[in-house]
Amino acid sequence: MQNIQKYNKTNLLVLLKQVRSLCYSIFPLIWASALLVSIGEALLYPGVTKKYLLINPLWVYFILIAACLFSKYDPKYKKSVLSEKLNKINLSLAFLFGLLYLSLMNLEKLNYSNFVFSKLHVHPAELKWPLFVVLISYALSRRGFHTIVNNKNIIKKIRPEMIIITLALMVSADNLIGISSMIEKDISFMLSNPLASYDLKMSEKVTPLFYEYTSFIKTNVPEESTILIPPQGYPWPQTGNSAYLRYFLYPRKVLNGEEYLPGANYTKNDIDYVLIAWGETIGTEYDYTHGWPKFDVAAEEIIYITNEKDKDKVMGNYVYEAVKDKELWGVIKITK
Amino acid sequence: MFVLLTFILIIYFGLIFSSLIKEGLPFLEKLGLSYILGLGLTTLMMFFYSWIGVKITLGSIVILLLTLIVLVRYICHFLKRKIEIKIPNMLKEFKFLKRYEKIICVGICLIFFISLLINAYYPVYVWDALALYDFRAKIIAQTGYFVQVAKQFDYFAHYPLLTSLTHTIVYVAGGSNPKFTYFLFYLSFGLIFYGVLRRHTNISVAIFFTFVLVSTPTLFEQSVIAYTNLPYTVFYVTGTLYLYLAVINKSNNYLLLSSLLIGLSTWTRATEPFWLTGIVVVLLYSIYKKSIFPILTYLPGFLIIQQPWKVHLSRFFGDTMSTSGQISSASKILLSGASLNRVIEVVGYIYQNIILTWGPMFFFFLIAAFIDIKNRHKKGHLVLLLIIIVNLLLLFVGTYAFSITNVEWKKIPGSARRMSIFFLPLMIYYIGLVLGNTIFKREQTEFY
Repeated sequence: MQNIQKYNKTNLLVLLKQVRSLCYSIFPLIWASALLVSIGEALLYPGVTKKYLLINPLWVYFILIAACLFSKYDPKYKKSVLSEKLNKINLSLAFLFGLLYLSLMNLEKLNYSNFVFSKLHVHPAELKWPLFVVLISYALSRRGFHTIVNNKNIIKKIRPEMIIITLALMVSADNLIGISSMIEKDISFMLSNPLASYDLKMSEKVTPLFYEYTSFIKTNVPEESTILIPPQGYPWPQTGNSAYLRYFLYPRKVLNGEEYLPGANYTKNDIDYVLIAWGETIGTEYDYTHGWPKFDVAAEEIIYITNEKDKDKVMGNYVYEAVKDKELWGVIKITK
Repeated sequence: MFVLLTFILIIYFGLIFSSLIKEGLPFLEKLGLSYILGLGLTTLMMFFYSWIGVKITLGSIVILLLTLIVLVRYICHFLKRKIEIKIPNMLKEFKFLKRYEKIICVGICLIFFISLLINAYYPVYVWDALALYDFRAKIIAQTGYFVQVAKQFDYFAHYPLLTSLTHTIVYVAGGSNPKFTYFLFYLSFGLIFYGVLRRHTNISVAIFFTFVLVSTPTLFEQSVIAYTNLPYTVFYVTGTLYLYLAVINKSNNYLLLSSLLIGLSTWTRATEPFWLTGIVVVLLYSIYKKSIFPILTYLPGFLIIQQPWKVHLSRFFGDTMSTSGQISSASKILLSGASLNRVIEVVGYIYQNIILTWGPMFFFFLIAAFIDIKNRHKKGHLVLLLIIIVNLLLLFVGTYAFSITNVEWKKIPGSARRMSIFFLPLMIYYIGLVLGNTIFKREQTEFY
């Protein structure tokens, strides 16, 4: 029994040595593959490796770590010129990728989401993976360990305060860049319009289209009225949100309708007006399409906002088929 | 003019009230506390008296404040509490700072100035403020009541009234833009944070981490919009920090202060369950001390503030909205057995939408926790770490329970992010505490 166990243990050791030797032999290939995969994900798009090679890139990085750990114990590794050259390359690439990652991420923050990709076709966030590959390769290599572990003077010289201060300065710089990008538009508007009126400021914040439309409604709809408004959802995120819209139109009451039907009894709910709203946004949801109301309304008069931001009064009923697909804004005074 | 006078009265009331609870607080910290305590308690009193039929007007608010000031001064006199308002010579203190400390102070002041400028310029414009908080404020300012008119409006009575009543104070006093009150919350937060951190670290660390706090983009963003998240964060974090001080200093004054502040966080936002952390920690502390006194000190102050709104909600919407109703329904969900798939989904959701947005701060927090646990001689820090961990667990449990009751739970990541903003200041404080104690020596000179 003991002999069998000894035999099995010997076989396992032999197997491990063979794996170690194999890892050492093909390590440059594994390293190059991991680096190519990580750079590919950053330059093309995240997920490209999985799509075309059917391999999750995380597995590639895992194999790299395993190969690093196995090959560093191989006796040939210590004397290898290739491993020394590889470590120098890793250090240089670490510096390059680190610099690229930090500067491109901050460039993105200062502009807008996807800015760097639109200009340089690089996903800045994905640059952390090539950085990770070169750093982990260096750190786990025999050379990397020797440099850190055997040079205790280096460790003594690196005071913890310096590390903390460096990290702290990085966080502070990151925060300041974040705040700058946040306030840039506001400060710019404030400097251009130091004496702006309430209307101009609100128009800037809630969009001129919506704000002017609510001003139009307030001018043409009496305060004691009840207004039927579009259903809640894109393309009517503002005009269809009763709680939001009431802020601008109070004391007028607002009630949500449905897309193809009023959804409310005009008499029972004492509805006086119906909005005509094309839609504030290009996007839609719940299969809604632009233009509302999509049903006929018996009207005393219809007041449209024309292109010249003037109003145009029309007598007669609102017939949806006659105005279908026309980008119209206005209000209908219903016949009582 | 009336707006300024009313807020001076509010701050003065807060000042003497905080002196009543805890004497000898540093000036800047006391100033920060004055505003948040004064405003929180004033708006709560306004809710009470309007509920019983007294109309909210400028006159009634001023009478309330004067009454509270006289009452608190009388109690202070009776208990022989000193009301000290020693304003230090800030310019003189500033001159004694090191050059880099001066630069950081200037940076902090610049950030506050920009926040004030943006708040003074732009009116209330963000979505929820227009749909609810500011709309309610205007209705209350116009009618003088809340409970009596709430049924006339949809989407009106669900959320507590702190921010709405703050706006109302500004409107009835003749003001047109209440946003400066959010700048004041932000400023108060910075002052209290500095004061509490300064107790355990040197000036450099305290000033620097206060800078990290006020320059956090998420917090800065909340300081220039009229949402409830910043006031909630300020109340909850300051309450938690005082809870931490209460435990490590064995101080009932801090415990009472903590209960009031965490209570006021529920007066700002009532749906978040994080107030449970305070009760859990105080219970554990009571068990540790083998004394019922801590929990008896904590609970009344907290419940007096939290319960009235819950009573209103349960009267308006039914028993499911009361504290017992909510605990009961949450318990049923949690005791019905956890689904492993849902657990993994919730963990993934929290990681993607909340933890990742914390950026490198979470990573530094983990490093600080590692250093802290390794240096086990600073047991006090582990109390704060425990509080943060309990909050993280509650975040998970709360999100899990929400995912069971709401089909579209994944569709509001922005709301989940805003709800979790308070983790950042707690982590920043913890990092400052651990690194300040581990690496830097605390100096004897003060800067208040």
